[in-house]
Amino acid sequence: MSYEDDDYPVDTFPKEYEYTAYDQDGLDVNALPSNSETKPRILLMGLRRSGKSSIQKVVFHKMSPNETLFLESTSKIVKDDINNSSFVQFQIWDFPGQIDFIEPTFDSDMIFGGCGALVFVIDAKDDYNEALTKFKNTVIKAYKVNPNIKFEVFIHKVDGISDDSKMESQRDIHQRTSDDLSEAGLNKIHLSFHLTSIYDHSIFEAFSKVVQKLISQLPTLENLLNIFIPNSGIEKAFLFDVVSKIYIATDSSPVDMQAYELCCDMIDMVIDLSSIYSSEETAFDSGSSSLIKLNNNTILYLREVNKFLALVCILREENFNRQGVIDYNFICFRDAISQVFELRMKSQKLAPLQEHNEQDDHDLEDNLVMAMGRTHLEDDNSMMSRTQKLT
Amino acid sequence: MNAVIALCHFCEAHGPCAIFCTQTLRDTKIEDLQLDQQQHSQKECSACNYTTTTGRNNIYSKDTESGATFLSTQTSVLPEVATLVKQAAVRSLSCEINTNKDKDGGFVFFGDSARGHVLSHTFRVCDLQTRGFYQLFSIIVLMKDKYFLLNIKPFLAEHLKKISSELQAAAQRTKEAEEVNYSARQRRLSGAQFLMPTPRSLVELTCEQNVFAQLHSHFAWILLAGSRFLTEHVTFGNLPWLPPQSSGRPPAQRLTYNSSTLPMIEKYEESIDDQEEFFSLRHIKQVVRKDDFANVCYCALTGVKIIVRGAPERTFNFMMCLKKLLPEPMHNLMRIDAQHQHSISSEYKIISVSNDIAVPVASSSVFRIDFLDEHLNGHDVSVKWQGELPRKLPDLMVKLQRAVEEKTFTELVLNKQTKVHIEEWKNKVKCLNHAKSTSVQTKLKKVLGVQPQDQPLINYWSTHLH
Repeated sequence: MSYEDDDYPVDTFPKEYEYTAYDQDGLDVNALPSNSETKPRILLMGLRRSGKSSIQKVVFHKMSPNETLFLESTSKIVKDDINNSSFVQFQIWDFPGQIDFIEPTFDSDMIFGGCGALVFVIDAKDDYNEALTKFKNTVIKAYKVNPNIKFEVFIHKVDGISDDSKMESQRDIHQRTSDDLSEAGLNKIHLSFHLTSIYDHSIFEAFSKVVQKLISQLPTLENLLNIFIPNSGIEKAFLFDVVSKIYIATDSSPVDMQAYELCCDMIDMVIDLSSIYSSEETAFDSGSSSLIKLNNNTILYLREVNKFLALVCILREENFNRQGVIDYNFICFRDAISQVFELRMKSQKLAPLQEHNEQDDHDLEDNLVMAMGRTHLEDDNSMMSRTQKLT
Repeated sequence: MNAVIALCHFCEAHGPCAIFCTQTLRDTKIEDLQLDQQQHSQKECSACNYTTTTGRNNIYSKDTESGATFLSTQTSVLPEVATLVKQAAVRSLSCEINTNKDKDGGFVFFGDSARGHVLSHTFRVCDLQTRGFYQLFSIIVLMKDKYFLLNIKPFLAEHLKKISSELQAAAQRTKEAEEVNYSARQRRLSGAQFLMPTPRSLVELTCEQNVFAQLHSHFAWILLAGSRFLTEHVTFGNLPWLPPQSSGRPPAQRLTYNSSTLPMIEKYEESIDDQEEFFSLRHIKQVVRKDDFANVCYCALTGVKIIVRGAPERTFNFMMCLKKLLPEPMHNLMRIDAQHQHSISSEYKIISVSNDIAVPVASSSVFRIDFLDEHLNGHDVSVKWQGELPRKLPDLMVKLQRAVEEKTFTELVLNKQTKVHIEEWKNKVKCLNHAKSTSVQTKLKKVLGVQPQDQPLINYWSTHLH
C-alpha cells in the first residue's frame, strides 16, 4: 500500500526514471536486472482466520502450534525479514484477511510488484466457496501486475481430516480454481497445491517447496547433492535452513515425508541439547555435528555447512564404516557450497556477468565429481591414490 | 473547528471501518440532509454499527452562540468527506500504527493535502471473546488545515487520551466481571472450542448503554473547544505582557495559546482584538489636545522622533494608534516599551518608554508626549515640541484630518479609511523610488499629484520603503 504525499508530486516522473537506490521494495526488479539485492517477497493471503499468521509464527518464529490459538487478528500487513543465510533471503508479508487488497485504493504494483510467490491459504475445514472467489480475483490481479509470481495454494488445517476427504477437497479445489482461471483466460498460470497443517511437518515441507522455487541456485545445489550422495553411500540428504527447518535443497530421489520428519526432529534435538550444554551464545556453530543410530540399521548424520545451513543425511549402518571418506566428501561438498556463495556475492556485484556464473557453476560440479572419494565402487587403494593425486 | 472526529474499529469479521463520526455543520441545514437514506448499505454487524438507546441513527447538538451544529452519524453525511474518513480509518488501523507502544498506539499524524491531514490515536479495548482478547479501535481527527491540526495536537492528545482511557476502563470492568463468571481457563479446560462468536459492539464491551451518546458529547466538545483553543494574532513589536525582544524584529506572526480554560481565552480575545480593531486615530485626538493632534500626525508622518513616556499600560493603546499612521513595512521603526536608553538614540522614530528612563529634552527634532500621573490643566498628557507646522500641510495629512473630523464614520470605517490613504501614499512613494533620473521623477510627481508640501513625507518614506 503506498500513499505518497501529494506535496511531493512523485508521479510526474516517467516510470523508468526512478531513484533506484531508495527503491527498497524493489518495484522494478524486472526493469533492472542488476537489482538482485532486493529480496524476493512471499505474500501470505487468504480469508480471515484461515491461519496465515499461525503459519508465519510456527515456521519462522518457532511458536508452538497450540499457542497460535491465542494470536490476535492481524490488523496490518506484517512484514517479516528472513535473512538466515545468503540463499534464504526473503520477506514474508502477512496480510489481514479482512481487507480486500484488490481494491483500486491500494497500490497493487506495490503489493505484487517485487513479489516472488503468493501463498494463498484456504481453510479446509471451512466452506471454501468465498475463499475460492477471493483467490480467483487475487490471482487475476496479481498476474496482471507481475506475471512472474508463483502461485501456491495451501489447503490448510487438514489435521483431523481423513485422507480420503483431504484428497477429495484438494481435487475439488484444484478443479474449481482451474475452471475459474480458464474462464478468465489464464490457462497458462501454474498453481501448486499443498495439504498443510501446523500440527505436523507438512507446513514445513510445503514452505520448503515455496522457498526452493525462489532460490536461483537450486539446480546447482541439487546437482552437488546428487554427486555427493552416491559417492558417500548415503540414501537421502537434505540441506536444511536450521532456524526455520525448511530444506532449501535435496537430492533428486523422491522425498519421503517420514524421512523429512526424522531429519527435522534431529535438528530440533541437536539445537535443544546444545543450547542447554553449550557455553557459547549460539547453539549451532562450525563444530556442530551429530550422529544418531536407529535400531533399524539406519544412521542419521548431521554436519554444519555454514552458520545457517546444516546437511542431514540418512544412510545404512554398513555404509558408515568408512566415516573418513564421508567426512572428506562432506568437506568437498561444503567447499563447493561456499564457492556457490562466493559466486552469488560476485554476481550481486557484477550482475551483467550472470551468464558466466552458470558456466562457473557447471565447472564447479565437475570439479566436485573429480574430487570426491568413493565408498563402494572402487577398492581402497585406488581411492586413496586418487584423492592424494587431487589434494 | 472544521474537522471530523471519528471512532474507527477493526472488525474481526469485516476489517477496518469508521463506526461513529462527528462533524461540524455550519451552513448546511440538518433538515436538508437525507439522514435516513445513508444507512441502508451498512453491514449487519453489531461491531461495525453503533446503536443509540433512542433508536435514531443520528445524534446532534447545536451551539446557539455560533450557530454550528455538531452531527454524529455512522458515516459522514457529506459523500466526499465520507470517502476521506473511510480511507483514513483504514490507514489509522492497518497502516499507520505506532509499533513502539503496542498496548497504546499513541498518536500518529499522517495525510496530505488531497486526502486530508489526520491525527490518529489507536488503542485497544479488551474483549474476552475475541482473538487475542483485544479489539482494536482508533479515534481519528481529520482536518484540511495541517498546521492548525499540528498546533492543537497537545490539546487533542490530552482529551483523546482521556476518552480512550475511559473506554478502556469500562471494558476492563466488564472483563473482570465476565472473568468471575466464566474464566478463559475454565473454558479451555472444559474443552469447548473457540466458537466464532459474533463480534461484540462497544456497547456490550463497556456495558454502557449510552456510550455513543457520551462519545458524541466528547467529540462535539472537542470540536467546539478546539476552535477556541487556538487563536491567531499578528503582533508587531512587543506587547507589554510578552517578554521583550532584543531588537526591532520584522513583525512576527505569533500563535498564542493558552492551555487553561475557555474564559481565559475569551478575555484574551477581548483585550487584543478589540483594541486593535476599534481604537482609531480619534483616540490620539482624545489623548492630546486638538491642535497638538495635527502636530503629532505631522511628526509621525514626516519622521520627527516621537517619544512617548509613561506607564506601559497607558501608552500601549496610544502607540497602537500611532502605528496606524505608518505603512506596514515601516512598522519596524516603532519600538513599544523600549527597555534601554540607547534605544532612544537609535533610529527608531516612534518610541515608548516607561517613566524611569531618561529621555532627551524636547526640540524641533524631538517630539515628546508625557503621560502624567496628575492632571494638568484638565489634561493628563503633556505635549512638548519646539518645531512648527508648515503653512501647507501634506496632502495625506489633510485627508486624514478630514476623515477624523467626519462624524458619520464609525471607528471601523475610519480605520479602513486611514489604511486606504496610507496604502495609497505608500504606493506613490514606491513608484517614485523606481524613477531613476530627476527629470523622470518630476514627470511622475506631476502624474501622481505630488506637490511641494508633500516633500518632507516623501523624503522620509522613500528611505524606508524599498
